[in-house]
Parts: sequence; C-alpha cells; structure tokens
Amino acid sequence: MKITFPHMGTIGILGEAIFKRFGREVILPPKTSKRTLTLGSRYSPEFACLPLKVTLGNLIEALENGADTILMLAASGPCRFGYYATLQNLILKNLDYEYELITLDYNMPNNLRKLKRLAKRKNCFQIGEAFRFGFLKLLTMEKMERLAHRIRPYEIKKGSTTKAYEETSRIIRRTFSFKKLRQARRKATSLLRGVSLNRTRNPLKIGVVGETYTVLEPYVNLEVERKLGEMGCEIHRPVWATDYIISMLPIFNRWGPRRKYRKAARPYLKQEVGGECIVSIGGTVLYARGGFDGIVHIAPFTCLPEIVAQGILSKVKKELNIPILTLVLDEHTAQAGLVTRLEAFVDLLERRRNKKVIGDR
Amino acid sequence: MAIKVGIPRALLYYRFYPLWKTFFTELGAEVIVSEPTTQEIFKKGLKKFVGDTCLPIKMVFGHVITLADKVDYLFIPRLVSIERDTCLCPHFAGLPDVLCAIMPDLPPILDIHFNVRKKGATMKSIYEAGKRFNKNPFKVYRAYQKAQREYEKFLKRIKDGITPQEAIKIFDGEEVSPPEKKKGGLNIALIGNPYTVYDSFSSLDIIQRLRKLGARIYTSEMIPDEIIEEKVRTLSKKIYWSFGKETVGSAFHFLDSPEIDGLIYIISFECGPDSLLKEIVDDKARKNKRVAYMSLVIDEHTGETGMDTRLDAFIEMIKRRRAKK
Repeated sequence: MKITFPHMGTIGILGEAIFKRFGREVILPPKTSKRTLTLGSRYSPEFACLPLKVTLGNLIEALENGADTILMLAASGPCRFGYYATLQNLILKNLDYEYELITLDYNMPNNLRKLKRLAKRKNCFQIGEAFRFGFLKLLTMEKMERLAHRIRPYEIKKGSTTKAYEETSRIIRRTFSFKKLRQARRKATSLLRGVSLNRTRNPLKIGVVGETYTVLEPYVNLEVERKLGEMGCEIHRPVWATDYIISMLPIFNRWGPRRKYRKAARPYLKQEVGGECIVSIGGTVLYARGGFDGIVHIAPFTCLPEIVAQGILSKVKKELNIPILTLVLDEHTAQAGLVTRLEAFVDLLERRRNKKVIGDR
Repeated sequence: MAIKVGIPRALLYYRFYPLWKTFFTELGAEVIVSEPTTQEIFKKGLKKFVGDTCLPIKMVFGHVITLADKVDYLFIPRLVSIERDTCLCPHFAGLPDVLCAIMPDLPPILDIHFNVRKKGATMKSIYEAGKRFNKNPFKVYRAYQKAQREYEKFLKRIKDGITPQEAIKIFDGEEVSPPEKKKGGLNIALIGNPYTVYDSFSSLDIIQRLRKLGARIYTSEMIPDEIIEEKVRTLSKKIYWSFGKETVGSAFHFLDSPEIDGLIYIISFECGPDSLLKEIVDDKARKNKRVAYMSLVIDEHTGETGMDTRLDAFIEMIKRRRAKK
C-alpha cells in the first residue's frame, strides 16, 4: 500500500510523518509545477475552482509515480471542497487509474475505523503518538515560516531568508523521531537567526487573508508572501494549516482558533457561510484595528465563499479605512502582472504612511 | 396604510413566492414584487456589484435597486438550509450582509434566518419575520400555516405538469391554458437551478422556445422527492446542495425514463455547485445512448440567435434519431 495525498502548502508533512510512523509507504506528489497545473486543468471541469484542478494534477502525478491509495479530506459544508474527492474519483476512474480512495470527513467514528485499518496493527497509544509527532512537526515547520515572514523585510542580502528557510525545511522534513525533531528545530532556528539583518528599517505591515488553499500553496499564489517580503513588508496571516486541521475536529470547530475571527466579523457577516469567508473578514477587521498598513486578499477564480467575502470587504475597507488588494487567481495568472500589482500596492501603502506621518505633525 | 414588503423577482422567488406572499398578506402587509428582469434592471445591478459572481446574484442586485424606493421592507431571507442534510450555496447565506455592505442606503432588510439543519430555528425565525406586522405569535403562526397550505397547492400544481412560472400566474389569479398535448411531440427534460431556468431573462425564455418547436417540457420539480433521493443514493457521497441534489437526481431519473427524448442542462457561468455536478451528469449521459443530452452554459452575453440555433439543432438531431429507429 503506497499512500498519497495532494499538497496544500506544508500539510504534506503531517500525513507523511503519521503514515511513516504507521509503517506505511508514502509517495508524496512531486512539487506542484507547470505540468501539475496543465494536467489538472486538462481533465477538470472547465470552470471548477483552481484548487480542484491543482490537486487533481497532484494526484495524477503521484499515481504515475506508483501510488495506489489516495487519502482525501471531505467536509460537507456549502463550499465546493467537500465534493472534490467524489469528483476527482470520477475523473481518475474515467482515466483508467487503479487505486483505492479513502476519504476523511466530519464523521469521526467512521474516520477512526478507516485510520485504524491504515495503522497496521499499531495500538491506540502508538496511533496517538504518531498524530502527536505529525502535528508537532507541522507546527515546527509553521513556526519557521512565521519566523521567516518576520525577518524577511530586514534582510540585507535579498533572498537570503528564503535560502535559509528552504534549508530549514529540508532539515525538518528529514526527521522522523521526537528527539531528531528537537535537534532539527534548534538547528533550523539558529539558521534563520543567522541571516544578517538591518534592524533599522521600518517595514510595512501587511495581512494576507483569503481562501486556505491559495494562501498556503506558494506555487498557486505565485509566492505572494515571499515577493511582498522582499519588497520590504512584514507578513501576517490568519490562515495556517494547523489551525485548519484543529477547526475540522468537532469541538474545536466552535471553540478553536476561528473563534476570534468569527467574533470580529460579526458586525459585517452574521452567518458563517463556509470556507474561510469569516476568517477573511474577521482577519481583516483585526488587522485593521491592529494598525496594519494594508491587506492582500487572495481567492481562486469563482470561489463561492470568497466572493461573498469580497463583497463585504468593500464595506470593511471604507469603515476601517484600510486598503485592500484582492487577487483573484486562476491557471492563467502570470508572474509579471502580479508583480506590477503588488509593487503598485506597496507604493500606495508607503505613500499613505508618509502622508500620515506628516499629517500627525 | 399597509406596510409594503418588497420581494425581488429573483433567486428563490420561483420556488417560494406563494408561501411568502400569503404569509405577508395574511399579516396585513402589502406585497410588491419587482418587474420581470430586463436588460435595464440587470445593468443597474451590474454597476453596483464588486468582483465577479454568477448571473442570478447579479440579477438580484438589479431587482433590489428597483424596489428600494417603493417599499418599507425588503424581504431577503438568509437561507442556509431549506431541507434536512442539505444546504444552499454560500451566496444565499451571505446575501443580506453583502447587500447591506454594498448598498448601505437600502430600506431595512427582513433577513429571517432559515436553517432547517438546526432544529427549532425555523419557527423562531418565522416569528422574527412576522412580529413587525403582528405581535401576536398565534396570529403569525396561523398566517404561516395558511401560507403553507397555499404553498402545498402550488407544489401540487407543478407536480401535475406545469412550470413554476405558470403555477405562480395561477396563484396570482391569472388564467393559464395548459400546453396542448400533441401526439408524437418530443418530450424534453429541462434541468438546472430554478432561478436560472425559470427567469426568462437569464434563460432567454427557453421554455417557450422549446414549446414553439413542438416539445413538451418536463422539469425537475415534477419528480417526487423520494425518486430524487433514491437516484442520488447511487453516488458515493451525498450531494449537499439542495438544488444540486434535485438537479442530479432528476437528471438520473430522466435518463432512465423511457418517455424522455432529450435532456437539457442549463448552467449559469460561474455557478459553483453546477460546475462540479455537470461533470457527474455529463458522465452519466455519455454512457446513456438513448437520451440526447446537451448542456447550455449561459451568462449575460448569451445571444438569442445562438440559443435558437442550438435548440434547432438539438431538436433536429432527436427527430432524426427517431426516424432512424
């Protein structure tokens, strides 16, 4: 049994760690590339959303590499994500691929049964330990990413943070035991701390909100965060893979990390409409109150919850007086156009800040 | 003077209008419905909306603008779920908030929260809507019961074989002659979201066009719920969009029923649920050699001539198929 699952930013780490501990072979799809996107869009329905196309491409590439079991998440909210697994199954079966599909959804007893089968005669303690390890590893990875976001605007040599971050990611990905992970974490932190910085700068603060997949997957959003960082902006974002997983669990769904965003979004959106709509709005409100300079809102083309968010953000923008740049991504989005828009946005924010400073005097 | 409640002639008007109208008139309010969609109404809405969305949502904006200065309240319910185990597209749940955000100077919106997934929320929300007109909960409840009876009559009329548009006309007291049954005529099934198919602007009056070509129309509302439920069960995961479920279930039913000659699936461009479900219907239709199938993706730029050509070709194809047999 060779398990595979599509990429979503760094979430692959979690699955890989858990199933390696279960003693299963994991075949991660190759890094998302031009080919993934082409394959995915060739076989997907014409105006399905971008994540569906990219993840389908991931799965095809993984199956080509010899995977025979696909693991997918499937929610049952109003967002289209819940139906991905069924549809991709239909498409892949029509392409004559042979594999087994395992879906995990909100039905917890069912999930546990499925996981138990995957866990190959491991006892409950070992299963729990595997999950703990996977989660810890993902959390470590995210900590590094957060750190990279913080230091990138101060770097003296452009690209040095990204280089260091890639090295840390390699180090962390290699570890498969708690002890090694601790060592790797220490090493990775010192690597990132070793980047030479110029602390006298005063970077712009930008919040990146939007649909989970497009925010987390750097190939799909054309590395917006790195680009903004290298233009001298400090990035904060409300969407993290660990938060996403926690809020999928029954109790944390309500009380978990989404709570504060839900509360902040309440005056603008009274009902959770699925996807990350409420996080996008709540995040924007919190960042605006926290004195951020601007917001970048990322959504895939035709994304249902984010269109609702876009409509409501137009009001938030006016009331809280914060500039918002909405980037709608699809498979045709080009680098150059995006860079131009980001540069213009950053210019605007800088001017706005200078004006404010003069005005305050 | 009676309080005026405005109902936009868009989205679920085509499904729930008799229910809403009876409810509000019973409570002593006057119900005003916007005019049928025209290019002018549509353009008004288009100017306001930010970003990209599907055709039906763009149309609501136009209707709301035309109603805005005529009424005291706008009735735009917040529909999360209208039946157990399914929900509606996120646009419905967020619509009142989006309208408020984009057009701040609208009359107050009656956004009753309608979520059947959670028990008890319905009765409370009905009172919520009715209390502006009558404080007495029993009166509100009785008005609702009467509305529901009226609504069941409406549903029954549709099940007997007329379209929702005609059923609404009958409800409003107009005379509607039932389409004549021609012998040897073609039986065409029309599926898709009700707010796309029955709005004569968005679907370019496809029903009348098909009838002129001598076809008898079947719609998904004519199929009993049990059959839809049964057909959808063949899929590996339940479809969780109400209209999506209805569309796919009835498509499967029509593909299996011997009297249907052709199936047309109408999708509005950028419709989220339909973009995925089309693949499922396409797949099933491809494997079915008997029923002719066509999917029409429409948006505001769809031209009448193009539509006519496609329908002509489709009908011609079915006729030839028959002749061959």
